[in-house]
Amino acid sequence: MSAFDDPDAGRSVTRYLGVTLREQSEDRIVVGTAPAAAHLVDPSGVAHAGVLLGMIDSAGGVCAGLASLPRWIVSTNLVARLVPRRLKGGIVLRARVLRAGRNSVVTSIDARDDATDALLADAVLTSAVLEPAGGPPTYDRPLVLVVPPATKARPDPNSFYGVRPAAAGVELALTATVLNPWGILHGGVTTTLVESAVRHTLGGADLTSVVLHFLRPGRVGPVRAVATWIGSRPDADLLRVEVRDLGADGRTMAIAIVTATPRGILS
Amino acid sequence: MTQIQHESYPPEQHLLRDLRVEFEQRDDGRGYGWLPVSEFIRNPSGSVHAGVLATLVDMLGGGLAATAVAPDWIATADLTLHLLPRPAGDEVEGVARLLRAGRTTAVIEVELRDELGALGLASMSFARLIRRDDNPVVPRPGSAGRSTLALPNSRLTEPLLDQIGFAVIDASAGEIELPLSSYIRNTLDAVQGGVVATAIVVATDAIVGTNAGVPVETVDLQITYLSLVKDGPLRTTARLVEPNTADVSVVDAAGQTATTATAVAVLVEPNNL
Repeated sequence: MSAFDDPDAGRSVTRYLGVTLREQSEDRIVVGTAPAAAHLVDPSGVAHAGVLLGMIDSAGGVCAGLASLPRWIVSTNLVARLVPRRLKGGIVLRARVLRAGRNSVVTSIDARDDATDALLADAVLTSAVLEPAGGPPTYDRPLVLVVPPATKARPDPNSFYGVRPAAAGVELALTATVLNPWGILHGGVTTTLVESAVRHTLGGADLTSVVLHFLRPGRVGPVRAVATWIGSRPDADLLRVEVRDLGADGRTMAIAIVTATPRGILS
Repeated sequence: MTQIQHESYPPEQHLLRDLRVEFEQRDDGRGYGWLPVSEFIRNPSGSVHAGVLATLVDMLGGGLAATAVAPDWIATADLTLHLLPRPAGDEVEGVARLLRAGRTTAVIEVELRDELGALGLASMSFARLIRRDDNPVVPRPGSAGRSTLALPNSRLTEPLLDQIGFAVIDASAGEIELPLSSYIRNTLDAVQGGVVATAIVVATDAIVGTNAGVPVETVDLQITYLSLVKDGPLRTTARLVEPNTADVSVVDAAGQTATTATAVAVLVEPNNL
């Protein structure tokens, strides 16, 4: 049985992010659309960086997965540039394959404001090709994955995922809410942990670039993220974030290198 | 000091020799590298050119990754570099740490610093390749002490970008050109990854600086290597996506995009000098 056969297991994050994905018939492109729901933006109307990166990981991951069939993929690293700006409309993501090899797939993803076409983020996602237990997900082609709009108000990402302050950083428990269909921490939650750890260290800040290496799955928890300030330069502060699975001997799940600016410099 | 000997690579006249980097892989699982800083590799502000630091990272990370996957071999998949632009001391130290070595990939992190503290952070991913007979043999960690590719007469004799041979075709478009030679090739007979990174830095400095009307320095690189550049000349094209940010493509002689990158360059204020 494929990990994707259960329509509910590991779907909480996908439904929370609200990205509907549609495969384009040509050029191996996947387009994602998401409404600018109140829970996805901060009080000033800027999409949470972790949320945006989670959407990018989802769109790029599905695009890479389709290119790797009959096998499937797991994200290994995400490199993104973020342009924090107030949303006027929904979010449109466009993922395309840059390179599909035997062992890895590289996809390029950009995210734009649907109302203005302004760039919100562009990214490159590298995925490793693997033989998933039980086989890959089975989809009708061209793929359409519709996420219905939320029928009630949702909390902000930290509240929904259960992110709380911890020693020198932030952490969360591995509840069913934050898992993916394989039963491990969802990549879109790891991105929020990274953002929260940076804000814990810097205070109000806009993330302007993120390099995120997914190293090992989070299986036990709690998972803790700690951001270390490296230095300042004319355009941004530089930080390193380490994400560890404390219940698995503290092994490192992910590391991120982040640049961030004080809130208010960008708009 | 041990001189690394290999029958075919690098040739006597090669960039990796002329940079005079010294290496050591220690029993703690880390790789250490020391880059002597001459005037030929500095920016006008006194910082070290980002392309040189990317080359140091590529050498250090490549050595550690090769050790980790031995007897298999590696190819660089991506490289990121984030710098704190300030004048550097006489020597830059790089410390590489293996984050993961799996069946198909290896991930390395490199910390850059000098005697005053941090200079930046870098990361690299490598694809694991089946070993070929002509791949170099890497020494076991802790077995060789410090080593170097430099020969007694190896050194830069002019500014690095001139010595490599870059030509700026159209600065406002970030178009540069580089004829290929054995001086800049890697073990796979393609352009060495650090040289590709240097080309991206040159293109970024050109397009951002021309647009801004002031000299700038590249401080961030996010590079994805898609294929090898084996036939030249290597060319770059660039597109300004923000006043300080460029998307850069590296294309080979056939016009195929071999590398894509996003790079950030900043004006280094006089009070930072």
